[in-house]
Amino acid sequence: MSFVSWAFVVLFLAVFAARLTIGRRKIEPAFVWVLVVASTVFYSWHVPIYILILLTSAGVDYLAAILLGRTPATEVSKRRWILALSLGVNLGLLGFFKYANLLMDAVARASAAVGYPLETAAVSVILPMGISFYTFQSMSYTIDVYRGVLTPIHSFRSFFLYVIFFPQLVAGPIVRAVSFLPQMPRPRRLRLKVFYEGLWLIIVGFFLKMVCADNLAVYVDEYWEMAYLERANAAFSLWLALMFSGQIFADFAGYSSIARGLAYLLGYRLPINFNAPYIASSLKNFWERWHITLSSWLRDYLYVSLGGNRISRVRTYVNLLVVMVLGGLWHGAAYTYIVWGALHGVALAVERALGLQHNRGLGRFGAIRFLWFLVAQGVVLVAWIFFRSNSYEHALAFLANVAEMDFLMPNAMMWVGMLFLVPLVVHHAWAWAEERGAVKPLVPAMRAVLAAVMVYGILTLYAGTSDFIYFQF
Amino acid sequence: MRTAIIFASTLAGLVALTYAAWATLPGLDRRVNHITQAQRPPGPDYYLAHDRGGHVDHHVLYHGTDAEAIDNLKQADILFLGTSRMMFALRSRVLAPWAQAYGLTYYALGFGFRDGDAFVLEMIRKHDLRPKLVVVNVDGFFGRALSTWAQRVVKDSPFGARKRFWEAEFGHESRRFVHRIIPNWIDLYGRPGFPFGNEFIAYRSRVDGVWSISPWPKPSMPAPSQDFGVEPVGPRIGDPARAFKAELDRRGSRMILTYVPTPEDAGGNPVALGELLGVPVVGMDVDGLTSHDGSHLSEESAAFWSRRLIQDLTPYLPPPGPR
Repeated sequence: MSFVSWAFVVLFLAVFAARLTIGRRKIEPAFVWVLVVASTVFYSWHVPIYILILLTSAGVDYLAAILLGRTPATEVSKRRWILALSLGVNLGLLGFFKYANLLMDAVARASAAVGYPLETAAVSVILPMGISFYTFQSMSYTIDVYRGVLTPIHSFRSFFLYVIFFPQLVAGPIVRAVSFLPQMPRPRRLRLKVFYEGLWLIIVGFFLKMVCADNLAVYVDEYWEMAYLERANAAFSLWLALMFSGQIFADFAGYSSIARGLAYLLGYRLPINFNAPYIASSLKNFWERWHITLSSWLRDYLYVSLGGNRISRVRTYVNLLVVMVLGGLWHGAAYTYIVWGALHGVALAVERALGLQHNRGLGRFGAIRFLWFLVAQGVVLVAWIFFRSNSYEHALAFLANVAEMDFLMPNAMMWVGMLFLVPLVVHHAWAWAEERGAVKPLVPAMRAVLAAVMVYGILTLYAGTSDFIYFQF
Repeated sequence: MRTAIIFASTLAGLVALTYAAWATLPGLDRRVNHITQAQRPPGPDYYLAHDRGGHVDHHVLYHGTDAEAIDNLKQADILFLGTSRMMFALRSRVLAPWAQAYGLTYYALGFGFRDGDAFVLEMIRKHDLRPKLVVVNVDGFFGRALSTWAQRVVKDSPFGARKRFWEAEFGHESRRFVHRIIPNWIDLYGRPGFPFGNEFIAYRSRVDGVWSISPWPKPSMPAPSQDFGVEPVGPRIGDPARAFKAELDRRGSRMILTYVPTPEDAGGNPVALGELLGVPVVGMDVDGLTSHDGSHLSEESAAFWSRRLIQDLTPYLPPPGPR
């Protein structure tokens, strides 16, 4: 079920009515059941049978954690086996659904190449919505129990709610059990201030999605493939890249904002997932601002497990590259995602080798800092071209057109399209100024005015509704 | 509470300001009325085919969620097939009296999203359609794989199809309500320099499957040229066209080709394709047509083209009565 649908509005209003009546203290069992049932309906709205996959993933992790809790720390080997089983099931499900089509295709090609063409399934595998998110979320729980950070939870209902909680189920933020489970027993009442905060986040999210992302998508979807053509104008190609970088930010940050707002209204806090990423002064800083919950997940459960920066300088660079390539593959089985991840990995390694990741110690070398900001944002933009393109070759053709540097003046269509980037530019500029203390956070009255303007914008400037980009992951 | 009051009064102020501008500025008034008045089905026999978010008539007809529409489709003596260009070109006010005069029934089974033979074949087999005559607009029809939208439709369950239809219908109704008070500025002015950006709404007739376009923009350019030279028909088009005809032959249906002007590659010369398949080609060489977007015919031109089509098609009509 998409947030931008009337079915969701009806579902959420029913849940919110329950919050105002039977769930005033949030911990009431009846309200918890309402959340579980509503989340199940939310998930099953897509392909009902896929709820079984989610149940399998959650069930395995729940049992693995219980077993880990009962196994003494001295029995290292047994504990490892339990963890391996849990990770194997989750990664197996993820791998099957993400890469089965690619595998079938590869088998068909290979068998045809050697003269023994094999019949492969004619029907492609439909990806269960949000599988990349909830498997990571569920796995983090088992790993934390294994590491001794968490004690296993004994109520399957509570654990299931952690995995299936509908505001963040489909596209994050990826919530850690360590931050979600302790919220469950807290009887958080709905106060006016909390209500306003939740509503503000929801309005910001819908504005980003329906006004910015969906309008930018109209241009990107219509014209992106023209930038693959030989001798497509550099200004036009660059414009498309900028439009897509705006679209993907507005789309994904919009979803995260709505998710956080909805959770607020239901008595839960979800972590921030985006923090004005296009003002990041370095690649490292970019990943501290973009899809924060995924990057911190990869850091804590993958990068650290690989040795992080504790082994050697070269190993650190290799670890960065491996983590980012796997981060790319997390999005799907395509060379374009691998290149996207590899570009970020290499750039992060170079940045670290040059000592530019912190921007500390540069002091008076403001020019270097600014130059590296441009380089970092340039890498991000180039990587987006790979991310959005149909194939590696198409992305190279796109970049070749940009490299031609034959910039023509943007036409009326391009200028009008860029108007939908303006709210994003303002958002980033405000965040930049706020971080430097140049402006103060908005007072409630100003927020109210801005929220009203955004609602007016949603009603009068929305474009054709499209699915959230990250639904496909 | 103060925050809520500020929010509500700001929003109310903006809405009131827009409404006042609408009420007082003559130009804006006309434009808004054009949008809001047009956004209603032409009659009770029509259902929503397309608003934002997809062509739901794919779902309705493939999954048979509208019994009356499916009954009429199954009973049709003549099927008209093609992409959205064919659906814009066929006009009920021309076709209905003509078909009635010859005691025949017809159904327009074209689809948006550039869906061609692959999706229509799925439809024909699923509903076991056996019309007497099938008129195909050759414009990119043959050799078309299922569009991404059609793939979704085929994979969806009947419940999924109903969900999509209700969602589209509810969204459409709420938009109609909201835009009686405040317009969507993009719908009102379009996207400058963006010829395909204007949204349109299509309702589909349960009786004859024809689209009713609303609002139908004014013609602003000539329809695409019909000069396709002497391009031969290659196997890319020829093979699927033969396969399609073979399927129709098995069902006892006669095939005839036609051509609605298109800015895209029509897939070879329609006359050459007709010769290859051994079928007549009608509705060719219609001059003076206009378009609003360079791709679809304007309302007047669509009626003009439909008249020419029926004039050419009449000699090939099957006799009325049971198949």
